[in-house]
Amino acid sequence: MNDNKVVIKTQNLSKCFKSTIHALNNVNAEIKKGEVVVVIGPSGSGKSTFLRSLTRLEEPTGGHIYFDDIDVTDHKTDLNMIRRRMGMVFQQFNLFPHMTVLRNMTLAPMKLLKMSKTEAEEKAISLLKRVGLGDRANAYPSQLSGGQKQRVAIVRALCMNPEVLLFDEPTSALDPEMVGEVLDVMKELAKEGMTMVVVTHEMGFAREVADTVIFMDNGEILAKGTPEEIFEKNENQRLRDFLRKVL
Amino acid sequence: MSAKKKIIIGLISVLIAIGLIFIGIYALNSSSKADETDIPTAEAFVNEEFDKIAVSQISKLIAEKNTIKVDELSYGSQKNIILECRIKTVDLHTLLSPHYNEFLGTSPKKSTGMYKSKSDLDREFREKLTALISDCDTTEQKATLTLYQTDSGLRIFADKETADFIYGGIDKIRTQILGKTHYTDSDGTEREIGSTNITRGLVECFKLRYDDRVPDTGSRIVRMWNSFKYDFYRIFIEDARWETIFTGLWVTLKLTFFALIIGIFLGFLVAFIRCTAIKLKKKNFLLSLLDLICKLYISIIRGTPAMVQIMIIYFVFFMPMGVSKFVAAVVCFGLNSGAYVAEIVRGGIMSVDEGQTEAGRSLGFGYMSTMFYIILPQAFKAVLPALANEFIVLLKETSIAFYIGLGDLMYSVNAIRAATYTQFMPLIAAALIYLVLVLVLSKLVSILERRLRNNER
Repeated sequence: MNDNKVVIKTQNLSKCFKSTIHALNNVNAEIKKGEVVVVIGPSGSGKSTFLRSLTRLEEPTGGHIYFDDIDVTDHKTDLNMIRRRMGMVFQQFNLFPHMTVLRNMTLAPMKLLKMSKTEAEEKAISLLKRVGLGDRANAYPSQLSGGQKQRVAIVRALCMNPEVLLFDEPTSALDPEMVGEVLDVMKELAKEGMTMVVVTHEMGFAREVADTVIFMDNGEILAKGTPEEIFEKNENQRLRDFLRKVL
Repeated sequence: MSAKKKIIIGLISVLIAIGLIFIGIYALNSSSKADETDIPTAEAFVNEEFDKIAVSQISKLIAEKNTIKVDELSYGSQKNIILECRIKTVDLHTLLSPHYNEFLGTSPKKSTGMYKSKSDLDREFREKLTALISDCDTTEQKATLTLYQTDSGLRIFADKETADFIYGGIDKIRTQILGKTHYTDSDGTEREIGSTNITRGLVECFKLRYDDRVPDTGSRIVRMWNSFKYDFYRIFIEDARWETIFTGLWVTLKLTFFALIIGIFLGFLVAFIRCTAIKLKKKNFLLSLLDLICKLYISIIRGTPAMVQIMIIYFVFFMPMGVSKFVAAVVCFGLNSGAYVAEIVRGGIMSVDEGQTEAGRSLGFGYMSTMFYIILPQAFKAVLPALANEFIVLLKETSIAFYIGLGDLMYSVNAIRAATYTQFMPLIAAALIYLVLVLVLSKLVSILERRLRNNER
């Protein structure tokens, strides 16, 4: 119903290393509520930097990011409050190896949202069941396969009830046979109306799930549109070259 | 399961070993008092024993002349019998002083101009002495002798001093004569004593056999065992010296414990400050200052010997302020291990994957909470072996606290060395105690390590 509300907006977002190398160059993007945005592009194109800048894991050197009309780049903004509302899923899963799956998931809700232990655990278990890991609650991350780890990482982010989920190449570190199970979970989430920004090389996923596809190269957005516009009707030469290589 | 069994068996055997040591000490220490005896028996025994000591002709002559009369007999603790005696003996010093020059002067060349063989000189000298001693009167003095009952009968606790006293100061004279390099000739001139001098013969005359404490009966092993028992008793049990070892051990343990706590606290704090300063992208004046202080602290502590540190801390700062040695030692070793722990922990924190911080931060944890809940537990696990090593070093290094006179284990051991004039047993005991402590400590750490590692892999 509120489909047109802009959740994240970037304004001339720039990031440069050593003041000469531009990882991001005046990126302007909008992400609407309930939208699935897939960012594609060759490696080194700045797509991961873009994603990580949204929660300031990478410190932008210029421009603004607005999350729910709050200026994230403003130093007075409580970044931790913003981050609670934006879930992040990493390529390397980054589960906490010294905690069980359940503890991985309940730590933040209990400490930050002040949920009771039973409440947090109930929520975690029900989420785990949804991704088919109900029986692994007491396992340690090292006892899980890559696909299982990534599913746990996704539900760990979901435990904080985020408004937006950011995926930084979630399937790139997985064995090919495990990619499917993770993408299935993401599709499920998309269907439920979760706002998602996904950096990925999975073109099939982008075509099937994305509302908007953004093509980036050299720190700039070169093309933006529906999957159809990007994959079939594009005019951009670099995008065509890129697609020819990956498809 | 089998690992658990191994630990249990190991612990039990350590406990049994410690138990046996305690039983040994207990048995030697608290076994009942010496068997009843009476004054005449004791008197006969001591007289006989002291006669046995004499091995040379002269000392035998003295032994014939002296008598020991026992006035009082009492039973001390630890199988001791205490005898109050009157000892009649020859006062050799008074007897021989006027004749020193005469004896010393009869050197081969000076007296006769002719060379006399050593055995001739010895004989000549013995005859003179024998004449002197058999003519002289005895003097009487009071003394206390202690008997100790062993499995192989009564034994006199007669050190050189006592034996010497009973023999009229024979050993003192011997040393005196040996120390002489000059004598006064009959015409009043100082002359040097030659190397083939009569004094050598004199020394032979006065020889006593002191090492008569262990009976020569039984096999070599039995004799060794007896001698070991005797030494062990004399070094650790007598005068309750083992108590000082335990007092010292307790001080060492307390010192290590408190230093450890300060070291861990300080180490983590410094590591935390340094890591934050390294990781923080924006420069912060306060943090840079703290980082500088930490760097300075680490380089000073690591760059100077712990012995110098403890002496500076105590003698320069704490002693004038009237602070106790123990506090000074705790502060010193706390500061010392803190510097090492800081670098170990810093390495551990830096070794935790950056992704962990990112995961924590992106869940909404602040820097501190990320550190506390996510980074430090992992860092701690990674550095545990290195930390254990540091604590073992700390435990052993506390032994230098005896340089400021703190009554730790090493201090007690040194006191025993000084009191008993022995090196082997007290030092071996110290080494064994440190070894056991370190073994127990490393066992505990490996158990902890295993428990932590269960979580992974």
